[in-house]
Amino acid sequence: MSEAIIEIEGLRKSFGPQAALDGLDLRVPRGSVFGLLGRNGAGKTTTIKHLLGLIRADSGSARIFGQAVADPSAGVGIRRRVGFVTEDKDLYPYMTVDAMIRFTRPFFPGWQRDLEQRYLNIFDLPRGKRISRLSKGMRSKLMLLLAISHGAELLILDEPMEGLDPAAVEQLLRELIAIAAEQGTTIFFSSHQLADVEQIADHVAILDHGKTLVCGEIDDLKAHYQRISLVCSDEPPNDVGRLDGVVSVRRNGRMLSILVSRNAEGIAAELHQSLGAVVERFPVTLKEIFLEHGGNNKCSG
Amino acid sequence: MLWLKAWLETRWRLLFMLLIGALLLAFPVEVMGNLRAAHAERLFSMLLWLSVFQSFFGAITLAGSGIETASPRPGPSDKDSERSSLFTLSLPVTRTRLFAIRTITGILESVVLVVLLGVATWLLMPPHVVNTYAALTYFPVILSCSLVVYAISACLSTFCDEGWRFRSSGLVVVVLFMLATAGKLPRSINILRGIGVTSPLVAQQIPWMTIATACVLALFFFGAALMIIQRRDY
Repeated sequence: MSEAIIEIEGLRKSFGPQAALDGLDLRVPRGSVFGLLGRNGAGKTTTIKHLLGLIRADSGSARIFGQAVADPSAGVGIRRRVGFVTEDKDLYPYMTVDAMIRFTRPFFPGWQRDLEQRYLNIFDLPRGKRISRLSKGMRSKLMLLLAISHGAELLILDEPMEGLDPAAVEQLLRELIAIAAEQGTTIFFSSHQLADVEQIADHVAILDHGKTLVCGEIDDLKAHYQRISLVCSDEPPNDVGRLDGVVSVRRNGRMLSILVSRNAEGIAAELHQSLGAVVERFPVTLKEIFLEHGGNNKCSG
Repeated sequence: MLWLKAWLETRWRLLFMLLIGALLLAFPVEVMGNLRAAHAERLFSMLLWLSVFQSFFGAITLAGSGIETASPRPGPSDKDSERSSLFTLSLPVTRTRLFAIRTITGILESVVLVVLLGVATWLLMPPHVVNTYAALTYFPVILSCSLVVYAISACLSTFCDEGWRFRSSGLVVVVLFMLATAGKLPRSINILRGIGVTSPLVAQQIPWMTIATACVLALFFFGAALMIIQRRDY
């Protein structure tokens, strides 16, 4: 198992009676492109804010580069090695693009001017334009430039594709892949755009109600998760969902459609034997896993 | 760079306060012709309280903007600064340093405000009522008292949105005035005495006790504000 750059164990955080994180566990391997999926309110932004020291957890622990993020003295060192793109992409509206770069540069001793120049050209950012006059897409690109140019070992991106037009999303995804490939930067990003996550991520975690439902390598998930479809000769039994590995069961008359997270072959054989039905297995997409996963806390990674 | 950022974010408020102060001073100038000879005492009193009002109002206004980045909730007019504060807080800088820079910038601007408006007010005062020594020693007194108001506003701004941080600070000052006027404020913490009856302009001596009390109170509220900022979630 490769070294973890982010390790989260049993993280809990409540805002009043509302539990935003409810014992979250997560492990992000170094060098990975890790997609954090979840519906609105699943706990993605809370997780990211905790990693950056913007909020404090009620219990549990989170470590980046092996250092506890809750330790304020370690926090400064961590943030020096992390690039962050916020959900709203808000920078200082009264500064120009150039002033924003000049403002950010001195905070990071490892600032790389060649990267700055390269991404200024790639993103076609107007240096003299005020940030208040930039579109959200342009602000995303500027934030990404600021995050990349200081030679960050880890990029934490909160909904980086949100509000971008399809062309801008495509360009951003291309650049993220290039950054990960060329500089070995670990990218940890949240999104609810499944297609985008599937396009660039090699690892994924699905959050729901502040818990990790699924986490692991996308290839592994796709290999283990399968849909089993069968047509019973009589009324289908009600206890299929109790079989180990079954995530969800859909019924349509005598037809059953079962999503399993592991042991698909064994489950299919058992169903064939016990029900005498014709059983077929199909691969599933990340979207199916995301949409149909139940409330069990299972982490395969 | 954080100093530059703080200045860029507060400069308009300082200019606004200077403009308000200048407009307020225009009124005594207008009526001075009638008052100067016959009602010097009344003119003196009016200008004295005008300088107090300007300093306190300035302190509240500058404190509100001075630590906006460290404030908790987006008010109706500061959503942008609240959201961009996530970027600021993601920089490799401690919250203490961020707070210190914003607060010191505001204090320095308060000094500029008090000195400029104070000099203008002094020049308008009847020359035979106020001597130079009393006028000069009045500056540290009103500065230290403004510092308390600034610190209270800074503290309030850690848990109020922009609209409420201004209103609640103003309310605190009004309550302070009412308690002091009613004689219900203990002398030891009555900073208004130092700028009123025991001020160098009236008593012709420096109220060291008031200055010391004001500094202790200011430190207390700055400390409280810092503690809140260190502990709060963004």
